[in-house]
Amino acid sequence: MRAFIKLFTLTIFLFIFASPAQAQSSSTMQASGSITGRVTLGGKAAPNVTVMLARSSPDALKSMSAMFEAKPVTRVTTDSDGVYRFEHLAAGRYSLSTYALAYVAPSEPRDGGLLAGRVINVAEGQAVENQDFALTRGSVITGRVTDAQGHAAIGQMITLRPADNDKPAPLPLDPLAGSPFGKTMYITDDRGIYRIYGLSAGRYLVSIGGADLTGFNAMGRQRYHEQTFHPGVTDKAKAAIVEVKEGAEAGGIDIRLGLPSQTYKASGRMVDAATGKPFSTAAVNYGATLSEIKTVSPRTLGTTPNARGEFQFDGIIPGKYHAFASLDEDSEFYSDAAPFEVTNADVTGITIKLHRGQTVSGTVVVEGGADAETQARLAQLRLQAVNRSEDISAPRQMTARVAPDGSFRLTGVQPGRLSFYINQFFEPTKFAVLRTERGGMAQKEGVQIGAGETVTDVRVVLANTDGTLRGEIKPTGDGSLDDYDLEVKATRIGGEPAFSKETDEIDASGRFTIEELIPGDYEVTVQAMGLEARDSKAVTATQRVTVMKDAETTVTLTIELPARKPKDK
Amino acid sequence: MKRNLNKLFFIVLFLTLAIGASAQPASPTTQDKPAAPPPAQPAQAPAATPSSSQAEAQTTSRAPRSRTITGRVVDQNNAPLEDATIMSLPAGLANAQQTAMTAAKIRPTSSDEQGRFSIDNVAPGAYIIYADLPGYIVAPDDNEAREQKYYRPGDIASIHMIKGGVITGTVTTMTGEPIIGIKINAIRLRDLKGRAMFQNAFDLQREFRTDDRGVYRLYGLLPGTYLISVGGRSIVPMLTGAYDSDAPTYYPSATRDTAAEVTVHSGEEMGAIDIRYRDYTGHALSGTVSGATTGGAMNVGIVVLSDAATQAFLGLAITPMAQRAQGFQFDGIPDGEYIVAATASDSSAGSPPRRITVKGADASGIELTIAPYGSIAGRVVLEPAPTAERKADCQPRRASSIEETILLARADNQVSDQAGDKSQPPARQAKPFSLFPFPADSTPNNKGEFKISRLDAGRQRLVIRFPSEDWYTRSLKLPPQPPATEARDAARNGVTVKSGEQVQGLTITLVEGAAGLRGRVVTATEGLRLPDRLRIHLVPAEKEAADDVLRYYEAEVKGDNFELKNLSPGRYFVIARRTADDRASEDSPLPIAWDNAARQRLHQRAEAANTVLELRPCQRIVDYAFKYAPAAKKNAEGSTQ
Repeated sequence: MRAFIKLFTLTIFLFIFASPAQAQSSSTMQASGSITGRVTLGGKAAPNVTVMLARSSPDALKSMSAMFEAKPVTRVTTDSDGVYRFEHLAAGRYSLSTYALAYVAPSEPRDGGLLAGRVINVAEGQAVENQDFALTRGSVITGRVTDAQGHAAIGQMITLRPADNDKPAPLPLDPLAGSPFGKTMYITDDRGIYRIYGLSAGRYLVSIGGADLTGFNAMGRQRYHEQTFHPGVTDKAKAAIVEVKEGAEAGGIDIRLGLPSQTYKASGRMVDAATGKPFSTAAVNYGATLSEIKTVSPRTLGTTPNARGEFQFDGIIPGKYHAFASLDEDSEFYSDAAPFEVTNADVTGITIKLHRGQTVSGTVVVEGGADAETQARLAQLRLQAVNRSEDISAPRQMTARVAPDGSFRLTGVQPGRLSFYINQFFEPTKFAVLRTERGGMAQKEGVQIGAGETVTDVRVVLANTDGTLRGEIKPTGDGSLDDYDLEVKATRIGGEPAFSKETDEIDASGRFTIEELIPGDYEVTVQAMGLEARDSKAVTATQRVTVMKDAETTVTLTIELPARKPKDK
Repeated sequence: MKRNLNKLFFIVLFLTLAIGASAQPASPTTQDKPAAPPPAQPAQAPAATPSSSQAEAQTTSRAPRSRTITGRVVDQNNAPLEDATIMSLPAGLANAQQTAMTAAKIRPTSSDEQGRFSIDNVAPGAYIIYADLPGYIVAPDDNEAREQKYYRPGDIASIHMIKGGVITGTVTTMTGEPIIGIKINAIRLRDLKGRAMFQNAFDLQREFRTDDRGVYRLYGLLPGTYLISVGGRSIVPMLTGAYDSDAPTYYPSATRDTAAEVTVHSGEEMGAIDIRYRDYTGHALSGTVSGATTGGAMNVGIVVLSDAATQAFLGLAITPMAQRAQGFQFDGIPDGEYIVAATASDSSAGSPPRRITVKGADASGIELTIAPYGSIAGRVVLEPAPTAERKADCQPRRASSIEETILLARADNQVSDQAGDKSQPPARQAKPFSLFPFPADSTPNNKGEFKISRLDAGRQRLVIRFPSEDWYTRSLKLPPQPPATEARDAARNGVTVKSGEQVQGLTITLVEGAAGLRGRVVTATEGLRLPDRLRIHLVPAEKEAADDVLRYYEAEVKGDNFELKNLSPGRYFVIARRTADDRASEDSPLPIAWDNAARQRLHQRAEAANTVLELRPCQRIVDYAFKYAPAAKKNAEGSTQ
């Protein structure tokens, strides 16, 4: 779920916030670092392979500002011995990878979750050596997709999955995979032709179509195709498995689509729960239920009801949904989530009830007081609130802008337990909620808001997240860091609500950084997982450390790593 | 079925960003993870945002009954096109309050087997309809109309889509090795008629890259002449390829100056547009953005780099919004002329564009200062035609409501009145590429209140698009400026907006009973050809109306036909004139009447030519023949006159 939200957020931002171009801090120090290594293909020297090096940020996905930092790219090609060399490097953090997309490169932790690259911290004047890459020849699957009439299906996205779940072959990363602009090689062209390259040898299922109930049907599509496998079957058991050998091309992997499936309409009305009168001053929307977080994922941009509060949705794929009123932040109402199910007919008679909600107000303060500069940051802050309830509730963004005097106010709050937080992604304010109080008492489980109650005495206490933790993982035993997936997590001791941050960005020499921590005592844990999924027993090591304000705290984690079988070949 | 990002998805993303509240999954609560999409921008409640609930309750007495826009999507053979995505965007979106209700007015739908679509339950107002079908494009005649087409409830939209052009080829190194995963850039310089075309934000929708053989295939291209290049950065921020920091190589293996152009027609494939990649290194272009104080933490500064000649998009940089200067930088920039401008992402403020020359070195220290945009607010008043004039032929032919009026502000940078006869319109100002792909239109609410935002400082002129042919503009008045007691004439003088100024109280008086004039231009002499770029002008013939700017009308003569609508009844001189050469490239030249000196000259000449026409209220002349006689001094065609 979180991945979905993350992607959704990115999707929104990608479109408008593009090319990173923050001015990089031009180092006045001498740029004399270097990185060298060798690229092999099937064990032999691979000449003429492009190797790229980009400046990188450890938090590319964790805050908006980091996302847009400049990532200047330099590239070199390997010589006849497969050797490459980057020179005159300033000290800093880099992401190193081959850019040989027709080949299969061994998987690397993704830098910032987006670029497949090996993270290398280059110290002043350091010569980083032996950064080798062993490539294998990639395979190609290509074919043509046609509709029921035999016309080219243009601009449609192919889904490629390993045929054997027990032996998943890693799928190639499209140069633009993960972005709404991306997946270029998975998309059929104007002739209906697709061409997916850089594949590991293996057995694959190739399909197109399918309906995702939790997806955002932004385009208001009225019809859809069931997931259809090569050569043109919707029954996965009858799908033809495509097998490709290393460096080979499987052509003619065509898919013939059937007729599109039917969608349905659902209609109903919105009423004011107190008066029973029509409610027509809010947009209305529907979506599939996300049971883990007890809410509904909006499926469309919404629709407007008529003066009688009546609404209708169309293009609905059979499934279970909830309808709800889409209310703005300043609304005094909250909406019920009205369940409905579409099977094989239109649905009518959905009733959405709207209730006048509670008003919750209070103040936001900074632990230890705030100087003028901190107070100014505070006045730009948006405080987010979330209401935990046992029932499925309508999605509602509860955001309060903090006034210059530190006060805030929320309206239309549904009775329940209200928790406050700061969205770190959008708020580069370096604050985190330390605790929430009411009437001077800490509210560990959130503030209880009763029906009919007007709450005025909430106090949200923030802490500055101005601590930084730098650490190093020292392996003992016969194992090497390269053989493990590593994750480091720093958990603040005694935090209410809990506060922790983690990173899986650990460079080749075991170094990591966790920024924007609330100063205090932490338990820092490293977890190492074997790269092969089968021996999944994690090894951990923990260290306690005190993170200081405005300072870098260092920690060394010693972990015993058993030797691993060498990876394939 | 999943689809690649298409044009309309782009719109939705834009709106989701702008409107926020509409489409938000609920937010998990861990503090240290990005969780929820952006919260809505604070509702800053423009004075004149239509509230659709009210609009629903109290439309004008002759409100249109229909609440549906229907239409059909067909190809060049009139065959239906199914599964085209259709999206209706209410006019005034640029100025609308950012609420879930606004978002819900956008009704994406798709065409059925017969190509038909229907957008139901639409509120009164004007709508822009976008259509998207992979591989197809909206036929340029519709797509590149000089005026945005609007639809109103009850209208039937006929959308013509044609197969886009294809450009394909291979990208190799100088030694002939294929280059894989490199970005292809296509900039359309001109349409097939040779008119200069400017890139639209929609053109950024898709990105094409070479495959494992170095082959690329651009499809769904608008007909026209392109510059094709490879290399450079993706519009997507976080993804990098090995060629991101390179300066582009142009087809066939050149810099921009020596690039070969590629022309493609609808449905046509231009093959073998092969490119040999050169490792061009560019320069850095950097500077600072300052002065941004508006908005919350969600608001960021967007720096757009565009090409000075083509206005083509070249890159974006994001800076935090803060009072102190924030740095930005672009890399891989070859020698050339560029425009850099910064705007706030909430569209509340922007910097004047800066023209930058890169020649042989990095360009640094570019200072962009963001200042708030101005706005004009006021009221549209609709006067019904006097009962006496309401003859049978004076009944409105189409029920209209005031919310269907479109208001636009147009910057009027013509030289001042004192410039005299030699006055030349200024050279087209280089404009930066705009990320906002929609017209900055505004619509009044059902009470007639409106607000036009996002205005640069300077003199603005109101442009009014009427919901029907029955209305015309009588006056544009601003409140008196003390100590004066007389209302100011905004028709004659425009509205001067200072940086960030919120101009209030503009009253736009519309009147029923407009006349219309359709006809053709015939030459006074048999066999004489009409000159190109001819425009027909109506000039008020009543002495007291000589300076009534609103009584001056002009229209382009297409072929030999012309059409003028929404005309005030009265007496007119009719005259045809060629558009000045230096204005020929303009999409729609500024009306002559806006320039006081030019208007007086036009009046003199029209009076001298003395072709008089009387238009009665509601009169629709459809077969007027105007005799064109070129002025003697411009006797290029060998006229006898």
